[in-house]
Amino acid sequence: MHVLIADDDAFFRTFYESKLTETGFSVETAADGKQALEKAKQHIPDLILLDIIMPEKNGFEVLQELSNDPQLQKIPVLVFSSLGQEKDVAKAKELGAVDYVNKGTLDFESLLLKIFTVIKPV
Amino acid sequence: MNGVDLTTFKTLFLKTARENIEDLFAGASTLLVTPFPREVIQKAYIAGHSLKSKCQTMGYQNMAILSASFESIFRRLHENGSGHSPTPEEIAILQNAVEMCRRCIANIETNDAEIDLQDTIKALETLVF
Repeated sequence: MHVLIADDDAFFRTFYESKLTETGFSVETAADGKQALEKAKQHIPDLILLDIIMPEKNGFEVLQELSNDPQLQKIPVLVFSSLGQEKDVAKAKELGAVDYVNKGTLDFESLLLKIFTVIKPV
Repeated sequence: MNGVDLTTFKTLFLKTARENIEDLFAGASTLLVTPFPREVIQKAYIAGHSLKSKCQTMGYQNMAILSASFESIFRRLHENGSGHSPTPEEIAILQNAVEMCRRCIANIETNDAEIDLQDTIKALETLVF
């Protein structure tokens, strides 16, 4: 399964790429929203882990563009959230995100459960 | 984050946290310019957000709360523009808070422990822009 991680922070890109790769996923990363859309078009992922606050295009803009693209609109998206972002998560869900991942408190096993819940079998 | 050995990521945490802190410092200092450049403020807002998230992940709650304050302050400044011109005293509070972040990160590196940031957090709460 192929996952695209979109996060402007190198710490989180490296952290999640490392953990997901160890678990057996194929992982690609993007450092901003514009790059995320380019990479999603080049190699359609099974799942996108998407930060909301990013330079270039933010997570909301990425979600909007994904939903407008017939090739990309079915890709499930989990948004990253952290302390104090409840309203951002609600907005992201309105724009098509299927669920959220709390970067700060969620343990990795729970993250994997969420991923396997949202990735539909082929 | 539970169930994950975070020690292997500490070096990366320290490196990227320091980068975030320098963006916060640039954001605080740019408020001396009128009108202040929005892109520097946006960068500081993103830095505060990133620092908050990674401190939360690594279990550094004092830094996470302080970073959340920075994120909130710079988000408001970014969204409201130059509607409020911060006073030199307010800028000094921000710059001092950034310095406390630096000291906290240094202590985490050396002693794997945060320093007390309660007074710094309270000082940032007095800023209403």
